[in-house]
Amino acid sequence: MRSLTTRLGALALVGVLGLTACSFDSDSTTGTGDGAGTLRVANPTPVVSLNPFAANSADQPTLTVVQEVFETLVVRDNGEIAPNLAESWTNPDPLTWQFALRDDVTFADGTPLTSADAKASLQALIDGKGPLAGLWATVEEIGTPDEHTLTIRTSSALGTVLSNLTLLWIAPAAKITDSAFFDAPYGTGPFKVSSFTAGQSVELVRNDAYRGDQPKLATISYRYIPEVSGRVTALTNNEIDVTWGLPPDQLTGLRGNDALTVQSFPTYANYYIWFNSSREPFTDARVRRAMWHAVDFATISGSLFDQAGTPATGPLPEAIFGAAAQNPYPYDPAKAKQLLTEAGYPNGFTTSMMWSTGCCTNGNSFADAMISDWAKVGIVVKPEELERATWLDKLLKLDWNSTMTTGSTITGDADFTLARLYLSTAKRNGYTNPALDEILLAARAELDQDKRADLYAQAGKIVWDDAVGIFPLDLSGNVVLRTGVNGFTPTPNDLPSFAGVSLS
Amino acid sequence: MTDPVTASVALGTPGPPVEADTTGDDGRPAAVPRRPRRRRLRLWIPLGVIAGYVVAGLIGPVLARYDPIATSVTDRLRPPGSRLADGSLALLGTDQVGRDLLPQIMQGARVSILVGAATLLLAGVVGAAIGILCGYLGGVVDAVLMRLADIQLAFPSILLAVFVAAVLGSSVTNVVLTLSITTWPIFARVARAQTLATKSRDFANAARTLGAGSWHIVRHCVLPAVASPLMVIATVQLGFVIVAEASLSFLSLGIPPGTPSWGTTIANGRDYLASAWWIATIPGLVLALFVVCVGVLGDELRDRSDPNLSTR
Repeated sequence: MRSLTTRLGALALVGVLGLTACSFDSDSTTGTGDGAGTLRVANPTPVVSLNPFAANSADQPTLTVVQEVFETLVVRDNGEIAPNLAESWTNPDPLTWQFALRDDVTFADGTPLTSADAKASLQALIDGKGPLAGLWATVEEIGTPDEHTLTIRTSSALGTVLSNLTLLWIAPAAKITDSAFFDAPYGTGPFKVSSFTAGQSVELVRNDAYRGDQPKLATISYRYIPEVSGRVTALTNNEIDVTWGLPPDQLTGLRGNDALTVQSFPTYANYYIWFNSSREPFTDARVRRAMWHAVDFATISGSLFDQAGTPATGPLPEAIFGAAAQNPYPYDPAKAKQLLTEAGYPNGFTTSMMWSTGCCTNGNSFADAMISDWAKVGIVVKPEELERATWLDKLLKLDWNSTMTTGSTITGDADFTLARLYLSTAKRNGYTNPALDEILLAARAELDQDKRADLYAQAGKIVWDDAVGIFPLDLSGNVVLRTGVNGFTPTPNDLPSFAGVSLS
Repeated sequence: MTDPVTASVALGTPGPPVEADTTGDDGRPAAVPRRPRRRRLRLWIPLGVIAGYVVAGLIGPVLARYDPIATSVTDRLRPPGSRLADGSLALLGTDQVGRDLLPQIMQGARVSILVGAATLLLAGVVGAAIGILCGYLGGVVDAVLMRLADIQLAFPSILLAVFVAAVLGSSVTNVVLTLSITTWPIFARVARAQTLATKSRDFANAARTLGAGSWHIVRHCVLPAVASPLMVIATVQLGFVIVAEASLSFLSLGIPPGTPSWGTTIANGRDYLASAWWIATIPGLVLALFVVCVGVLGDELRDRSDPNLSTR
């Protein structure tokens, strides 16, 4: 008896010590009066690399930090492309883009920015063979006629050059091939990296050579806190100033806290459930539509996603260039039954749905709710929650029946999602449709941006009406700030930027 | 796991008196016809609680129909005692997709007890067989198998379980296998020690002199001596096994999604500790109470099977 009591007692003691130890490492360096100081940020996903040219070029955590350090030639401002490092651009012919770079820009080490740096950066992105390299597949030649002019020649007309350039970060050509450079990189942006521990923390300090308004913050300190409850506790205990990407159920509690401000905003990200159109029974569009009609998405999203999502109007969130509203699929189990009967499955069928652990906001609850509704029309869906690497492997091999995930159109341009995932050659979901391919390729080659938007609206209609997948929700982002953090503006790419932030 | 009391039971030597009031255990059982009241309570209260869990696990899911697939998102995160949309009462509240927690916990009890019993049966049979074999044969077989067991015991058992579970994948059978792999050495050691102590006792030697074969001696002399300490060890281990199953399920390496278990329910409630404490807290308390009762019962059985009382 004594041994058991001692053991339980010791266990309780360890627990208590562990809990108290957690709250010891708080430091409060916030607020020095003039608005300068350290902004303490907790990112929800780990920053594993600061190299925006290779495997992590489309990684949200990497981009969140990198955007404070590097700049791009053009930026997307309220949906429109605006000049940044490039002052202006022209198309001498449909295959050539010519950019005039600003001549008053220097890197943090004092060397001036030239077209050679822009060329080296684009070349590094293409050679890095990361997820963004495909955007530039048709680039034939990158030219530097003079120090401040950059030309990009493509083998066929490429209408997405400008939106692709919003993710091309310009790094110094002399350093870009040096992998040690990315342990503490610097660029032309408002901050430079002072220290970086992969997967754990990043420290940024003000770049005094920045050409624009000096940021009010002296330093930004990013720390990775994996558990949601850990981040919330750190925030309420004044150990961090900012975090984002919290599940909607946590926000309800935080909204009532006077020391915190919660900001929600529309993003480029949405939820989608794909069906493997190359596998029975999903080869039949009627089955795929039946899956959609069978689920009461209005009720589910109203209960599960309080202010965290809005019902989708099309396969792409509204904030994206080329998105257009489509005809909604109402909740109608009778119609679902009828479509199943027409397709030859009057009693439903058995299938499975996979997703990766932690992939999606409220993902497990959302999956449970959909599976419950599908069971009501006779479709038995087995849940398969997989570890991310396993999920990705199966996904790319098309070894699945249906899959749930969230995706972000990080360039803000419909081409990034539609042409990357829905072309027959992409082989991502087993769906093949020559008419869709034709529209998507025509849109990519179109230089007139209004005509491109029209073509993407047509492509979106095909994807939506053929129910290649279910597009239930456009996701809202959220950022929670402690009172005293001023001047934060959310952006739809869900990469919180703190250059304009000050502390009081 | 190898505290002195267990070892003394196993070796058949008198252990130190465990508690001051256990005067009945000093080698004169006949002189003390009734155990003190406290001792009897220490046996019957945990037994009663455990019986309650078994009954809840057996008939609970039949009485309160629980469908792990059916969700009701409009009823989600309701506190204990709420009325649901269909008029029913959620005595212990609802989880994050509106499923009633009470039937879910009862279903979880069924899974946990089933996994615990199956694991102990498998590990017990395999462990006892290996232990008796080692103890009886001795020599190289003994050295090899027992060093294997030692090596495995030197390894943190939950770490080993996580590793094996990650390799095997998640299913109920695999959880039983995983936990059996981590538990068998404990049974093997006790069985071996008891065999060593018994095989050269007078009655065993007498049987051997009369021409009994090894199989006869193992069956009639060794096995009865091994059985009772193994029962005690099994009771003590039940608590560990159930906690290990819950830990694996918590890490989504145990019971697959779709089958409720205490561990998965606790894991589901992890993100709602501040807003909906009941999802993780109630199954946590249910699990804790069960494990404490099993532990008290195990300790009590161990005291009662003190070798001075159960000499063969």
